[in-house]
Amino acid sequence: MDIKLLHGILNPQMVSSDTATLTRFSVDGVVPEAVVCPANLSQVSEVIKLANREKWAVTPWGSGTKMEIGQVPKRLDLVLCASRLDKIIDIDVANLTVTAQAGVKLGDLQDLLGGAENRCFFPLEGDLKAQADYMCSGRDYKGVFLPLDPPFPDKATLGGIIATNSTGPKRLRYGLPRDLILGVRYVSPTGEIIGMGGKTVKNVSGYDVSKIMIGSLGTLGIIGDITLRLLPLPEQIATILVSFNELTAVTGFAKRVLNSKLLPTSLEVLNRDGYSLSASTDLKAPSGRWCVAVGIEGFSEEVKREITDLKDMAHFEKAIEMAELDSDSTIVFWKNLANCALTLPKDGETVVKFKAGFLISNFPEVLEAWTNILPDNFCALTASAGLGLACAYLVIKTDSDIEKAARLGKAFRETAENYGGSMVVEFAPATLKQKLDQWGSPHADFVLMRRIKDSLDPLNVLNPGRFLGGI
Amino acid sequence: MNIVQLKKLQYEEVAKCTRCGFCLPNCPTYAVRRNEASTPRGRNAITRAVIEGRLELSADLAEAIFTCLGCGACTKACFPAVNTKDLVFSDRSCLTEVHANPKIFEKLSEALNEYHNISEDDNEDRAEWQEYLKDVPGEFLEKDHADIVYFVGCVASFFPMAQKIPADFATIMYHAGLDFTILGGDEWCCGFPLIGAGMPEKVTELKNHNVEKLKSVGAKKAVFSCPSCLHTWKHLYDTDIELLHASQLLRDLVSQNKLDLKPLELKVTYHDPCDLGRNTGVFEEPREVIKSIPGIELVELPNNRNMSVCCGGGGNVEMVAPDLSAAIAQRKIEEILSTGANTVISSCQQCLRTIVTSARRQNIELNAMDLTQLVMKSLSQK
Amino acid sequence: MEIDALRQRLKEIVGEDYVLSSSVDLMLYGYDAYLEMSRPDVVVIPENTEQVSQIVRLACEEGIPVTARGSATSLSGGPVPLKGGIVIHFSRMNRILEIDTVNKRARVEPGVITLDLQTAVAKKGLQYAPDPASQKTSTMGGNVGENSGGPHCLKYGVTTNHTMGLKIVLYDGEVVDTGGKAPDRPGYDLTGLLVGSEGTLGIVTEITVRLIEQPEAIKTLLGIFETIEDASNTVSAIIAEGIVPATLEMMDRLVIKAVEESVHAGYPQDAEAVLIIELDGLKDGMERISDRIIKICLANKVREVKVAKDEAERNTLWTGRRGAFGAVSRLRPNYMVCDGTVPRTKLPEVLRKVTEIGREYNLPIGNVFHAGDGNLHPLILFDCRDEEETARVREAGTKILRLCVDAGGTISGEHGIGLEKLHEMSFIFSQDDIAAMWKLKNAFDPVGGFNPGKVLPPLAS
Repeated sequence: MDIKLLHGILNPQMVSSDTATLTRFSVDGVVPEAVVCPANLSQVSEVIKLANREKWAVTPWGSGTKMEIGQVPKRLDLVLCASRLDKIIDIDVANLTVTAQAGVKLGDLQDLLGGAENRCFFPLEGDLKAQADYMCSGRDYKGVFLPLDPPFPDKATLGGIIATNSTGPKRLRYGLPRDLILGVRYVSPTGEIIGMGGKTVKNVSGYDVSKIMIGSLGTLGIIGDITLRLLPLPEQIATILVSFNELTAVTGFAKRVLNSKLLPTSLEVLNRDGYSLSASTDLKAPSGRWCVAVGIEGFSEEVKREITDLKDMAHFEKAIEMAELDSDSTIVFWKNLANCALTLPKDGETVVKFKAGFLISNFPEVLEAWTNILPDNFCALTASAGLGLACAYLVIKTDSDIEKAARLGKAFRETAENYGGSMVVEFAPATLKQKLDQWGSPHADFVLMRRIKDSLDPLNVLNPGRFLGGI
Repeated sequence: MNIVQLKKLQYEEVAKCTRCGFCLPNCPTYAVRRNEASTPRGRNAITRAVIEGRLELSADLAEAIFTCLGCGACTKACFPAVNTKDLVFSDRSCLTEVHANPKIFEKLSEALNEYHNISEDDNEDRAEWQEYLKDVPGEFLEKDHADIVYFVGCVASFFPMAQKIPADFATIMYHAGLDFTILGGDEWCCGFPLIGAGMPEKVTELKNHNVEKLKSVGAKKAVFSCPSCLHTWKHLYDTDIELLHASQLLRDLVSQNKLDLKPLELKVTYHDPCDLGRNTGVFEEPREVIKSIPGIELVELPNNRNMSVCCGGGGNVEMVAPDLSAAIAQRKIEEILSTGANTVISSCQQCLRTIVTSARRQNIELNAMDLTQLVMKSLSQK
Repeated sequence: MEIDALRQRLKEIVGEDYVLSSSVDLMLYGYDAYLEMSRPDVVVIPENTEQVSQIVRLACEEGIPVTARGSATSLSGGPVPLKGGIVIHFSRMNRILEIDTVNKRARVEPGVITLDLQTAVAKKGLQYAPDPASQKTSTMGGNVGENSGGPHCLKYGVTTNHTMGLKIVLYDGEVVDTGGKAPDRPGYDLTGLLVGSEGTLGIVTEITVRLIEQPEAIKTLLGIFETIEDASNTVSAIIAEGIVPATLEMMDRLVIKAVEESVHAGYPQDAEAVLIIELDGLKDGMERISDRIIKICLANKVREVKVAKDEAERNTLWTGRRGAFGAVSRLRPNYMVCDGTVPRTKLPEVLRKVTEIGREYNLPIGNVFHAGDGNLHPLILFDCRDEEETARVREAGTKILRLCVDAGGTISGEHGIGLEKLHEMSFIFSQDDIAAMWKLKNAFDPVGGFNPGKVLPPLAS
């Protein structure tokens, strides 16, 4: 690679090719030849156009929390780092939208949003100002939030979250990135700056292109900035922990919750190891084999009612223990769970994370099957009963447990597929990826995905080989 | 009617159709045929295209235009309330003018001209149903003067299946002490079938005759057991005589306590005939009569009153597309059965005839009776 | 292929009765609720996916365009077969295939009427959230094609947020499933791209949707305002207060009057604006929130706030809203809806300018719209038999859309581009943007057979 070509379009400090940096930005052990950190979309566009001319393979990089997702790269010449695309462009509290660049870290954004003045914007001046003051003083809490709680919420960037369709337990109530995204500006695989969608909640002008950017792992474009829907911060939050010994009681409880009128934000089933991921010093482990964590958010009356009803339901299913977390403990609990893949491994160990989606109706069967094939050593299960999702976190010895992990992954996948679903490997060392397909086998609609990729990225510049089916 | 007249009469009306499609789910013919030509919107579009010269007035249009039941359900779903039924009848008149109408209607017209009834029987046989009368003296129905004239209508007069209805109705009126008579052979078809056939001008002779006869009896009221006769009288005849449907008269008798109704253990549902309910506005009277019978449970059809679905017997569709008419009747029967009632009550002989014929053809056990029959049944309980 | 031979082949696929080609039938399949009309060469009414697949394969081999059509209630010309060819009418593919209450999914054919699905799932205590005003007659396939919204989308999202999977027939007749009942199938979100693509990427023959629990409680309020600005400010203020109601719907004086004349929904005829505010969810806390909303209304000089006492009153309020488009057609024979969308805080400004445009072009304009979403629906009233007036309407419509775009909005919130707004696409998209969409179009439909002439304007060469 001729680094000089990059210097022609970027400031020198935006281009790195020293060994230390290159090693730090290696993907599954594949080391790039250069790392660039452009500061705006025009520069990204120039870089991608150059990559097309030079037939370089480019991998986008946010804060690196999702770099384990995807196959080992077929080729890798250039890592395009979003660290300088870190501007928050517009926080529009009155319209409940935010526009920010791809490199903005979710945690930073949430902090800003949470403290945002909840002043509604009136386009007319004059006597309405008095009313505006009334509006703002009428509420005893303020702030808005982006209802996303993916893994590594502090570090993860917006671009990474969108590119990997990364979600967390709150998805039960608030939906996926695809439900929140209003607009996106990105650089196409051939280097054009493309804008789709906008700031309005409803928009059917042209194709809904932002949808295929979500979860496409940077294979269809480099995300520049994103406009997302916000929600007012809830008046109150809480978490109810309920523990059981029998899986049938767990699923019985979950069914009760799901068939009720309650609207929990999350309904996570954790096995004992799973629970330990989220435990903090002031939370003792529950005595049962299973723990169900129910997140609740809303107006204070709603929260109170949900707690009462949940406790009744737990009693009915003969729960062993129950605990109620206040708002501070609630935040800690869910944050620990979201960060666990980073905190688990010790020296010589690595974390492997499998994530499966399957039919909600088969939740008990999947959980039972997975439990039966769990290894003796550490394996945490966290599963969303209301969504039909389950994650398994294994801690394995980096050099000796690969075979075992691959076997386990295949068994997990088979279970998920038997119950109408699929499984992806979200976190794994490259050695494991060589023995276990990251994505599983594509379905008949893959023909369309292939055609889309070929049509948009004819020279296969963006992230070649890392996505489903070798895209 | 020609295109110039059609434009003058109907262009403003049809221009109100915005093609929003809200009428589609209300049209029984669309439910069966599943094509645009069988929708009120489609029929409006045809009318408009004809007026604007985009479509030739030809036999190609006959299928769409002559399969409208004239039930009026579309207009109820229509915010600008486009009167599609009226548009379609005008279209039929235009098609008749250019001889693009179904030949069967020419025969109908000839028959009415010759026999003055729809079944091509000797019109003197109109009172044949009197054979079913048990305790009403025959001469009671042959008075020259009476307060009330009972206009029996062709279906009840000539179709054996329906002949018990006038007999029961006459019996009820007799026992209630009403002064009434019938016109016998002097009752001519009201002309209703000719309107649906696109020959409204041919109604005139029948109309003049009937009005004349009614006058000669000196009646203050005319009562009809056929909603379509009533509807025709109300909308096409110019008379100051009070016009009533049998159900309205029965309701009055009930409220005056003139009927000795005895208990009937029945679960019934009620079918609103299009021409009595939606098109004349009589919804509650028949229901009040039913509910006044002790022991009866009335369950409503899922689609009732203004939303009532046509039985398939409207608009002369039976004559040009018997398959369509039968399929609509079948859906009606399914709707009736869905209520769990074992008996369906109507107050239109044509509806009953359509429903009963269709049920028989499919070997479905369905008890169907006219409101007058139900009342009679209650009266004759021990 | 000769047209007669084509018809014959189609008859072999779907049967004699379901191939229509008389001049009357072709006229009847040339329109929707938009102004423009065209004419297909033949209409087919298939019964199942296999037949659709064979029809599309035949069309592809012969280079004939294919346009899918449901109830043709589109307001943007979506189902108008601009280039002739085959129209596929989905009226017979109207079966609800499955209502899975455990997984909370329903699987339907595209011809299913939206309200029929809603009624069917309501019997099981569930709901399908999108509720386009035309739900009584619109089809699920049409909703997917246009990514339909509806009043409740403020809280629940539009069709795409509830569509989990699709069965589609590709340009060459191949049939594939995208998405599905289970979550998170790896790969590109093809379902998300197909929803709202107006039948230009593939023909949908089966739809899997998400169902949700019915809310425990619903509260519907009607705010009556003396000025449209007070009503618009109330909308922004409610949201700013941290309340996201299920709906925030507004109607102005002209529409109120028309609605009252047609359905008697109980709106006062002398008010300048009414706002329908609906809360749903748990009953706990709803009273307090509703009181807060009333306070906000009062602070914005509301004349009166009515609270629906029961289901019947609630239905009456909604009947008025749902019938608003139809009701204005009592005033003039035609209306054109400008489906522009703006950030909701821009509503007062944009509405005022819309009124100015009405004055400038001497056209009556009524407003009935999803205020909470900022989705305007100025209804320009006219008589399409008057060509000069119709031309003015088009100009005014374009101007209103330009206004929305300038206010940071877009040209269509839920009615689609169709053939109506092809020109206005350039207001919001660059040539590169449109080229990117063409690349997607070509990936799905390399022969250009699906609903040609819609959504994407040709690229300037």
